[in-house]
Amino acid sequence: MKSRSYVGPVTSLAFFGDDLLVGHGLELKFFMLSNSQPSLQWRKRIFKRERIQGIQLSSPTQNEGPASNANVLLWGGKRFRIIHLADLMDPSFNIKIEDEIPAPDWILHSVFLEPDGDVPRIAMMTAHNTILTYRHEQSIELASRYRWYPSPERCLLYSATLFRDSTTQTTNDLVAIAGTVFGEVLLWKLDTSQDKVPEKVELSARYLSHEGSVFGVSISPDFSYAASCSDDRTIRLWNIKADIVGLEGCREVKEPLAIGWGHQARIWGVKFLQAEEGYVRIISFSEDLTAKVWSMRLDGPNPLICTQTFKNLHSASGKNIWSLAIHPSERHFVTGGADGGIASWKILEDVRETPAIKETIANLEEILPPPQASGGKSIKDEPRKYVALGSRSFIVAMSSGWLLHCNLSKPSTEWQKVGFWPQIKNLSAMGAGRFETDGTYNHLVALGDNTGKVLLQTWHRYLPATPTNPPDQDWIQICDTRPSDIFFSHCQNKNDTHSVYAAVTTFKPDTPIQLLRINVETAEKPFIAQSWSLIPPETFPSTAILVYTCGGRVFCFAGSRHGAFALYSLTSDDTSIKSLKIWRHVHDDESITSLGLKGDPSQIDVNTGAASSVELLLTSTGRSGAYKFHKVFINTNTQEYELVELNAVYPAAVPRVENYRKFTTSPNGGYEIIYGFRGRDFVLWNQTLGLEAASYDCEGGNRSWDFSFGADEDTQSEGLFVFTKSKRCYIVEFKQILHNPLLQTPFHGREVKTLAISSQGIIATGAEDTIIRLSSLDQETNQLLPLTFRKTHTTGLQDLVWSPCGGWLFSSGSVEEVYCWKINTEAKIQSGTVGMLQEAVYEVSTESLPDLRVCGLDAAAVYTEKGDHYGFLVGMVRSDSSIKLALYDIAEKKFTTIAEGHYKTSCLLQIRFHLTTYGGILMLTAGTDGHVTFWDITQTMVVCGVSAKSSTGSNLVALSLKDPQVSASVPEKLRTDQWILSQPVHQNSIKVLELYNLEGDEILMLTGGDDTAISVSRIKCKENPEKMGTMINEITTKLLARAHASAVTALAPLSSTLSVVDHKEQGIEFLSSSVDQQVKRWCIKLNDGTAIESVEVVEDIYVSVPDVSSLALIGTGGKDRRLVVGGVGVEVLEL
Amino acid sequence: MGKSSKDKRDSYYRLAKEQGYRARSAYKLLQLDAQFNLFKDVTRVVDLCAAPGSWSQVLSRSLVAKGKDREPNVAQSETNEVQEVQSKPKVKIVALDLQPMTPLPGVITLQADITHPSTLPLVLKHLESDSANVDLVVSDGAPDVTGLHDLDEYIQAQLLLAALNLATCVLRPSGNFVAKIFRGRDVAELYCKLRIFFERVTVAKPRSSRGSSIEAFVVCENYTPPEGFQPSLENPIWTGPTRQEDIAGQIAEVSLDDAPSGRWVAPFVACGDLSEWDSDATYQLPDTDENGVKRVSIDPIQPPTAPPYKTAIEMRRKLGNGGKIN
Repeated sequence: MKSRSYVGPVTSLAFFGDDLLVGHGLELKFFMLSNSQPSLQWRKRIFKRERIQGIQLSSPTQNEGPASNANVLLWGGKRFRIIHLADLMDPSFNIKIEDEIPAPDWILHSVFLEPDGDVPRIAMMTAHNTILTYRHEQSIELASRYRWYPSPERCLLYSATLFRDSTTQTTNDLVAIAGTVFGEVLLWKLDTSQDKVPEKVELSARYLSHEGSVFGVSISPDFSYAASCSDDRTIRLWNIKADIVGLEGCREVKEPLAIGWGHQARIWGVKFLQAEEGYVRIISFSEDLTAKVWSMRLDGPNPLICTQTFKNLHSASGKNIWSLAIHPSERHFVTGGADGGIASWKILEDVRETPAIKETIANLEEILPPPQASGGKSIKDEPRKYVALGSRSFIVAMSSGWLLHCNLSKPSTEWQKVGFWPQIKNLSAMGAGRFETDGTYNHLVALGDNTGKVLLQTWHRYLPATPTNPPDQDWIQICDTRPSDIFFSHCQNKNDTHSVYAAVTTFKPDTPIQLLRINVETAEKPFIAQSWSLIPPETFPSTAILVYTCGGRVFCFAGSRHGAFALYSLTSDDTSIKSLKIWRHVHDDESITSLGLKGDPSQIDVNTGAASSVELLLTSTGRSGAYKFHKVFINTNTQEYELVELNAVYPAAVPRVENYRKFTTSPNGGYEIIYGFRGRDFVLWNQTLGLEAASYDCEGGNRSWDFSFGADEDTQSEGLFVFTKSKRCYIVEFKQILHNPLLQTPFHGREVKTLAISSQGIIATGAEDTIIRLSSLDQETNQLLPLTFRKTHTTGLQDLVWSPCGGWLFSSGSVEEVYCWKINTEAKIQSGTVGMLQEAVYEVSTESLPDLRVCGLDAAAVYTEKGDHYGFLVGMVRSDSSIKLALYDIAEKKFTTIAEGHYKTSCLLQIRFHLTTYGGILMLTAGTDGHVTFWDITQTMVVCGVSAKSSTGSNLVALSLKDPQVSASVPEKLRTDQWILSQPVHQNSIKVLELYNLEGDEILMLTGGDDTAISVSRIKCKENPEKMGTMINEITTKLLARAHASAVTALAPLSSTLSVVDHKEQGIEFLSSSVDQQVKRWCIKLNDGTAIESVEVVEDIYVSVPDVSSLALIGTGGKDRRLVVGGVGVEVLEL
Repeated sequence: MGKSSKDKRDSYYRLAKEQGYRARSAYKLLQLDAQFNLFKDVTRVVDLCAAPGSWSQVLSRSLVAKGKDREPNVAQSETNEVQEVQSKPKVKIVALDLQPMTPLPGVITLQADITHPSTLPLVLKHLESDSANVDLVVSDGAPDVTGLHDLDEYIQAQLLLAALNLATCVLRPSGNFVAKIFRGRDVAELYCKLRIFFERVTVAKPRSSRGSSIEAFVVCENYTPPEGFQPSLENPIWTGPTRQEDIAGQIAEVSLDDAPSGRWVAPFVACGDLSEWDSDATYQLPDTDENGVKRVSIDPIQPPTAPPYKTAIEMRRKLGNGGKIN
């Protein structure tokens, strides 16, 4: 076995000029950042078992580049190595991991000293507050290369940093700062240039007052200040000037210079930044997933103030940032997360810098001086409605009847009065659509007045294309009452580029929607070419439309306030049109906020030929909090209309979704941006990266607002958000919506608890971070490629199980959560992703116990008697010892509990179904009491209408359901008299249970326990003719005690169906893994009878994933077969 | 989570409150004793990393109340314990921790660093002894777990080895040593080290310790140090070099890590009867107890030790803004 790829915590980072060295697991990676597109140049394994915890370069790189004899120092745990920089940078240079150097204790920090001629020298600080020096002369015996120095105080440290004191003449003077496990910060000095080791070394100072372990310590470049951070959520700043020069005696300091409050969890590290004269600046990073820049004025007692916070670093699903490096320019820094992500962030030099978000409050009184009413009272004029025209201009309608345009494309904001119409006082409707002519975008604005008239205007970039303030006759009567809303179809049809469609709705319920086809061939003179009255279905207040033209037919989709879709076919003859079809509850019962077509319209034009049947992909967003993709089939000949949900995403970061946009243009192609509201914030969310693109606190979404992305190529990364707050107009400009801060894609933020691979090769992982991720495996690089993820569970994942066909995934968590997911792998959705729909939730009992975990799942396919796929038999075992068996109906998308019962009172962890050739249905359960229990549930299942039968034409046994109408009557009881065997196998928790089918109704069962043992059992089943069930004929168990050094948590059979005879010679192989981080390959030899001849270890290797929870195989066999190991990260191994 | 819902989630938490223990971990030691008979003939015992003191409570109740009828279901008041202690003056229980610990009757509580050389004479003084004659040394110490597994396991191993060093200084020959251990990637290395000093080393998992937790306990029986071994807190073993001449040996140790699979693994014992509560299980507690009295959730005996972030929380409250600081 050989490790091929790894995702897991990023433990160290260091800049090398503009480029970046990254310690990722056992490997060092080199990212070139100086190019326009950051790229991974190489990765090299450095250590056998240690993660790279620290990186140091022998000489700081300047513009002229590093010295030719420069070295790189890398350390991790009790290992380190010194490598020539030139060798390291040479992609073809092979680093031998055998050359790693053992250190006598755990290294917390290490620095280069002045070299001894050509021989590099380093100093290291151990976790026992001890400094050792090392001379890298490989010809002499290892122990003699070290020099030990006495410690001023041997205590256990969590953090330490060594500095070469630049304030003294000798260059090998060290200043050590250490953070203890008991909240103390220690400062001491050591001169390592002398040949003689001093007999005693004194502490220079002891800084007290932290209320918990000190996880990070640092000293300012001028050796005047020290900073420490702790478990107590504070940063403390210390004045060390006196202690650096102080010659003897240890000063005890009980009051820090300043305390920085603000982090909401443990703080892992602090570093000093350059600061203006008279200031100190610090950057800190924390378990709360933020980094903060702090500043303090040094003239007198001043507070340490947080000046910049970097929120939600990485995937926001994780818990920790483990590493941070500051670019030499100090203009940006990079962070490395527990989620494996690396991201780059910009430090604001000062407040004058153009930030990524710019907020302006418009002074509208300057543009429209309030007219004086009689009596001296001014009439308050206020902004009523907005349309954003791209990212640099917008129109606002005032309550007075004024229409104003604001141009933000120039250095100073330009306001223009568009017109004044008394009839738009308290205006109720305004909307805008975008259209392209000759490669440039224009906006068409429609304005409704109080009498049902509509005015059309075109805007070319930031300027009006139609003359402003046109005469009154340009208002066109559309409806007989005041319009409530005007919304546009945001889809310009390629074969009819001159048409823009808009819908006008009124406040009167059940009145038709006026659909307008507006001809924009002459941009200056848009006119209504055609109009239709769409008769709404019952209770259908329309909120969005989409018009799609194809093959001479025009279809219109409408979305309603109650989550429904309606389909219309527009003809040139009729003007009053009824809907062809209505689909209710598409977005639950919530407003549909947008409708769009997925992909480029050009891709859809394949439909043009067959005009009678159309297939298209619809995207929609809704107040339900979702954005969804649907496939729509329209067959006008047969009048069949079908809506199939392909994908639904509920981005937790945007609970109120307003719109969705997929960016297709390079270089940021493929980003899906969703915007909407979360609490007080307006949020732009990048679903592709799983990152917040931007957010702005607007105090909630229940106000007048509009948002637009930039309309042109050069403004596409921008966005404009305009809204009213306290009767004032707020303008918020977003600059870098498509900015990708990630250099390396993040994975799970916490440990993977369960991993399952579908028959179609999709890797599902469920983690403690409550997220389910789907990934595929890149055949060439062996890297995991993210497909999609869902943060739907509210607790850490317990188990994941695929349906045998790979189309459905069942997931379980705590608080009784069991979900069924439909996985659509249809390529048409788009490349690089799959559809993942939460089809059903297993209903929770009313009197729910807190923390009732669903620890184990199994699913077996169920067919109808006709042979159709009905669904699945889903087995669930839980922490209160209860078992639930449910049928899942794939047509109705519904679970029905058919049987339930209890084992004992101990927690159950595993469940497996097994079908015998004679129709017996066996259920195996195992739990914390170390017993495996075999239940004969054949009879119970028969009562529920389920039996095991061989399908015609094959001897494969499958479950068959008699009557597909499963009634939700009282579930059958699972009783202990159904136990045909309950056998103690392990001393305590059975962490894993796997079954092999042998021929002749024989099962090979493998279990792994917390007791470090693996058991191998041969179980022969036979029919029980009296009870119409099954019984155990014979069972032979071989227990491999101490199979691993720790709990055995994962097992994976290397082959599925086996014949005893075939494998008598070569044996049956399986893999095991454990919390001891070893993966072992075993070979079982069976005898002809019932005995197990031997179980031997064939191979045994170390994996860099701690807390291994799962193993799974991917690939059909032979060379492309890979083993995926899940734990704190994921490692892929070649077998 | 309210205390009553925690009662359902964690049966040992509820039991500890009902029986007057300061922490649920008391049951781990009780179950270890039930398996290994650790308290038999024990009169001198040292409890390391003892705060908040539940193991000392177990020791005090088990050792000084011996021979009497014990009613485990009735919360024993601390005054009762005082009286029992007075009747058995010969038992000595010394509890050490760096954190302050609320005094326990019958237990000598010392605030001291177990790695510091000055601790040894202090302990011996309180044991009223000038030689190593302790029957049992126990340690339930655990570090602040950061989530970086290798670091957490290293720190835990260092706590265990610090406890071992102190144990070698105070244990009488054939005395016993019990300590918490994290069964991570390098656990076999620790087993091998312990086996040098004890005839029998077993790794035990009490049923009151959650299955999902990496923790277990090493039970080391019959202290038999190698011939010529000089215990010392000045030059402790396996906790980093304390002299130039230690370096060669420490490096050799590190090199051994490379073959973890070839190393000796301690036999495993799950302890605690299957009829006892399962710490992984969720129980449906009846609303009334066996006497038909409505069950009320009782307060913990001692509130948990103040968390290090207590002041931070108070500061946040003071600053207002809904606790949001930018």
